[in-house]
Amino acid sequence: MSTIEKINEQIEVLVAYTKRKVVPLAFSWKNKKYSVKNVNFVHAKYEGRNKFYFYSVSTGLDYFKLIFNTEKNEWLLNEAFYGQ
Amino acid sequence: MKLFMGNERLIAHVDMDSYFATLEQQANPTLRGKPIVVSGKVGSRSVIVASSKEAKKIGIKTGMLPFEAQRIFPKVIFIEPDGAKYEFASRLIFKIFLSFTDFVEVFSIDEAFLDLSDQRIDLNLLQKIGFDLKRKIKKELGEFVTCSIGMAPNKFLAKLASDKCKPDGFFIVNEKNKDNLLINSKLTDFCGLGNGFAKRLENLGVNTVFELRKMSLLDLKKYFGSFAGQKLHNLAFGVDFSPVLSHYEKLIVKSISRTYTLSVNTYEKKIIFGVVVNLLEMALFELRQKKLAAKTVIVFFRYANFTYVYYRKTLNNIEDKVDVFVKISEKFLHNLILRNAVRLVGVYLTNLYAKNFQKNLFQQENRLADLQQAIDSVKIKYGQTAIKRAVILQSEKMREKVGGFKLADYEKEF
Repeated sequence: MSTIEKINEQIEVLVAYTKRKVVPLAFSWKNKKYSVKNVNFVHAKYEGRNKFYFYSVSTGLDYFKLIFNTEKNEWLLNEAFYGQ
Repeated sequence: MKLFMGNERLIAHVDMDSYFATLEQQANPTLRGKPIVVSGKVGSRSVIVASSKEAKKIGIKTGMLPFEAQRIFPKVIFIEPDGAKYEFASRLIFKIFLSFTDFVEVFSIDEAFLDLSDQRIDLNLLQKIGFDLKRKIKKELGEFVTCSIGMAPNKFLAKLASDKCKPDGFFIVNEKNKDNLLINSKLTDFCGLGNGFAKRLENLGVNTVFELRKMSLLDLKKYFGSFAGQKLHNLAFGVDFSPVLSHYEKLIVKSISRTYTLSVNTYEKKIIFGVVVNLLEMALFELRQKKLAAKTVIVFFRYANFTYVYYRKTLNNIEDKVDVFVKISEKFLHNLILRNAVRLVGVYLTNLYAKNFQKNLFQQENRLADLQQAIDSVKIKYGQTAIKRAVILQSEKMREKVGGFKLADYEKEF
């Protein structure tokens, strides 16, 4: 049974700015490049005054959750789920 | 075909399908088509808060414990709840509702009533509205997210209709199908008619809607009181005059609550008290942010055997400061007899009023209010957990956001 793997590591992300939206196109993690095929869901939340954006993306069969910290301007790979 | 007669209203009830689970499947396509539940893991003490359509089909229901779900289907996938995702999605959905009408009543995080009575329309336009709603929800949230819609002359029938056509359904109630819808429903399908009422009706030999209709209004009032008796009679015939309380009218908050299930059942009053104080901090923070104050506090303890006890105090004046409620809770804890270990703690603030901001005559009171304001500013900037009372450090570490009571469970008791 596949389970969600919690990762929480900083990553590099290539994004596109389109019509007031930020769309992640690809990211690299542990020396491997991942192309984002679909952005499935985006949501945001505040912790104190800091706003975080959560991108649920697919790279083919696999799913990743990326988090953008607007205060620190950094990306985190939060979790991964490997499809069978 | 005439939908409704005369000056009847037109109410839509929109209910998201398997909401939390569907959102998780929308976010993570590898979960689609599989039985998944949103809950803590097996071995955790939380219950299942949502099951996917696939899980429901095999009998895994909301409210079950994780081990019960795994017993039914060992390969069921557990997903931890992501409250921020669900709240964010709900805000998007309610914006969509408000684009159709100002008269939107938020019934829960995943359902709402829309009063479309001011839009006199025929069947074709009704259907267009329904499909437009579904299309807009999919566009905002994703192709996997669906809802069920019931349309009827009143809230009761609209909700019954949406329940009956799940998932991804659309049911317009008219004069021809209304009785069928009612007669073929179970009494417990009726919103507001819980197991307690159903049991009492069963004791009178009433097990179906048909049998309920045969009871006279006089008898119903005799056994259930004037208000409830009339209500039961109305429901049996699909009558409901309750208005859709619009978005603006419902800004009046009636209560604020927080509950927490301890990681381990405990007899330790120090730990229990720490949790009570933590919950009070959270609830009162929300109260102050809404510019409200409370007169009544209830602190609730559920034991390991699922029995419970609660303590209630109504103050002479409205209050919003934590210290006041902490002192009251200390007395509650002193009186609490631990006949069993405590599993869950809850706090419930009610009798709420808008707070008037006149400065108090007493300097000490003003200093306390200023201190509270300073603490709130820290929490707003750095988060709820940035600053805590020392007593909380002796207790369990709780996450920043916890839920409240499901009011229907306890409202009558309180």
